[in-house]
Amino acid sequence: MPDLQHLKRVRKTSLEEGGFKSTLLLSLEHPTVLPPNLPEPYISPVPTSPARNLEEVVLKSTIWPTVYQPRRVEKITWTYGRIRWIRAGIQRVVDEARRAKEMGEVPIASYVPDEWETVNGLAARDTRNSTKHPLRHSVMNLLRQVSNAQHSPPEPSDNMTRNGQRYLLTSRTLFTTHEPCIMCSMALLHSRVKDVFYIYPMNQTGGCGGLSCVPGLDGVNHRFSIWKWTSPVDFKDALEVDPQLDA
Amino acid sequence: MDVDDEDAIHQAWMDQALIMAEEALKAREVPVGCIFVREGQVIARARNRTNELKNATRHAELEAIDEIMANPILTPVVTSQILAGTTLYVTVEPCMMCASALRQVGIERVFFGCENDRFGGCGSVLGVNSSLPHPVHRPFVAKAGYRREEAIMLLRRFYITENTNAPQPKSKATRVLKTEIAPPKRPASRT
Repeated sequence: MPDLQHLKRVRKTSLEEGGFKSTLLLSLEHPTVLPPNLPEPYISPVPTSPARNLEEVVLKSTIWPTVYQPRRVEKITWTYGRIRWIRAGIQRVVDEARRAKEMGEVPIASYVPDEWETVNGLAARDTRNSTKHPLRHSVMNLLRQVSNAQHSPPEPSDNMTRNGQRYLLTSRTLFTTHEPCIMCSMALLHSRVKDVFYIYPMNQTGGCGGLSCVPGLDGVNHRFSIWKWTSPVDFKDALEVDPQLDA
Repeated sequence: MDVDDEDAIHQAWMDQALIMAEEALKAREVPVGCIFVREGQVIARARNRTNELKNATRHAELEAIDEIMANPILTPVVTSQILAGTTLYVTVEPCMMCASALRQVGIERVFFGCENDRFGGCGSVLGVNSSLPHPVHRPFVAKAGYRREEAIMLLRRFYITENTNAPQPKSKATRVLKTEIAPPKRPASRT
């Protein structure tokens, strides 16, 4: 049964002759036995989701009274330190992608800074050319590196690998040069990444808003934030890829 | 060959995918298994290995694709459609990641057991296999409902136990294994 939490149970309408009429919302799947003196129930259309702003409250409530539930917006403080950290992440993927191109690869790279910022984190380049494997995208290569790094040390006292504290990319940020394809976007969702920063959108193939927005689909069990870096410096000459390519 | 005969053949292949899913369950992995078939022969068998490899992307399909790619007899030259002429049998609907991967390597057709309402990439959440347009990769046919009940029961047998690898393990001491299975929400066949 669809979730009906956003609907008010009673619709009150004023009558011309004074007083109110109350209409009660019932569920088709769990019919209620009604007292005999009430009129027959009828089927009514209802909104599928709560009202996200005051305008929606008015519009949706003309169909059926709907609760007001604005989206919780996480307040972001853009400190100089954070911007510097992001710029460093962007610079790192640009450098890696340039190196990839020098080595005959597609100029795409990804980078995850270390959680505690004590070491340099992990970076990976696209290797589909050298490995002759069409799925060796930078994100997939990086996720493999992250999991390899988590294999060690295998100390039994290390509880960090349990209960999500080090569940792959939980609470971590990924930087990448090009918007990840559907495969890579879903791989990032499976890995529970927190934020994704990219420079170049891939409108025909991207899974973070280009062709589709995978973490925004109904049903998926994790969401992550997507950020597009608009830089005063243009790296495009060096990092241009075929717009039909899956990044 | 009439439709019933053909369905019997697909179900027989799916039985082999179910053996891989059983193996995953024994290894305490989410029980999903698959086989790839080309010219009437199984060319790869695989199962989910996400917990073992601590890598949430190591689904059965990607494991098998890597095996095929690494074998020079099966993949003598890399073309844009490496898996042309190849059929996948997988116990659960490929997720969006796997559906995209399968399309990028040019799979011919996919038969699966049960739908996946959380991540399904062959129509349940997104039609990555065909309704989503792609500038290069051709769509592929995906058909649901082959050994569906067996696939669901395997998943239930897994989820009734406590998954200590989950972000927030839940206590399931009071759970009872359900055996009634609701019909699919959408038509069993889609392209």
